[in-house]
Amino acid sequence: MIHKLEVDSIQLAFNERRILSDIYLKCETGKITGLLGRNGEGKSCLMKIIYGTLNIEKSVRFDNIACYTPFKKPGLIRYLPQFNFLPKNFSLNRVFKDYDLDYSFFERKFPEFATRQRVSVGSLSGGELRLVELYIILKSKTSFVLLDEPFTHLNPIQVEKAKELILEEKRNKGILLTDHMFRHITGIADSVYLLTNGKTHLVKNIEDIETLGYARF
Amino acid sequence: MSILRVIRYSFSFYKSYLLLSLVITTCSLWLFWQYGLSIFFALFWFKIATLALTFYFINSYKSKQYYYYYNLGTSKAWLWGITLSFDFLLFLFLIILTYHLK
Repeated sequence: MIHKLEVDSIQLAFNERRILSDIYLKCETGKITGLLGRNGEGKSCLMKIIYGTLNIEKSVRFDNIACYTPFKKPGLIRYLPQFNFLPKNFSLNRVFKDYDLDYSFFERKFPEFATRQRVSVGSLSGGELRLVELYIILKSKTSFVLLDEPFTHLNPIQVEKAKELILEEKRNKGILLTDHMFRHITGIADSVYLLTNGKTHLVKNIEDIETLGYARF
Repeated sequence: MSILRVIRYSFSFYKSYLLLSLVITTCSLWLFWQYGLSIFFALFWFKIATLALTFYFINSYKSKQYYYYYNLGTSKAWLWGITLSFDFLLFLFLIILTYHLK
């Protein structure tokens, strides 16, 4: 069964500067939805609004049922913020246990982590840490995931592996993805929205991205 | 989500300020042992003030870690509610114990 996340009626302003005003976004399970936008356009705010940790007037609906605090339902939605969020003193073993994940599967997928389940999160490099964060959010049991700049700190090989992981998980989840490495997004997304001047525009073809002033080809 | 899981996550969160809290509680107990009941209200408010400062510090410098717990379905209110209550009740219990041992 396909599940649907829809977002609209969002009004966000900081110091009388309107950030988000005319938003409509749809994300379905089995699909990857990309979200592009320049710095300061409100992509991360939009994700926090959807997740419910930025509390403003909005309409977030899962299968047409409104939900005001989705973050309280981890089986429904999980969020990878753009910053590192794992407590540095936790071991990888602890993190995987908390998220009900099997470390051996992770080891098989990423051999560089073999036999390192006892190391602390704080001892990982930036790329390794981002990969662990992306893995636990993507692989944990939930219907939707919001990924805010998942490719940050990853080297090109890790980016390719991360993309493989995202494509693999789209079978089970609805994925909303944003990153400045937009070619990676347009390469794997089933639909792409561009956020500009507080509004979302559904990108119909790659030329729209240039027309709407986000990138030049 | 089971209450046991919430308690487990809360205890993990509690570890982020456990050491500081134990130092403050130990100092308070030593002072209570030295000066007795006359200092109780001062220690009571001292503990409250340090817990408030701890809350402010964690909220300011470790707020990103809340997302670890949000993704596990545990809200900030639960984390703080459980850990502050436990910490303060532990403080009161140890004060009463010290009073009876003295």
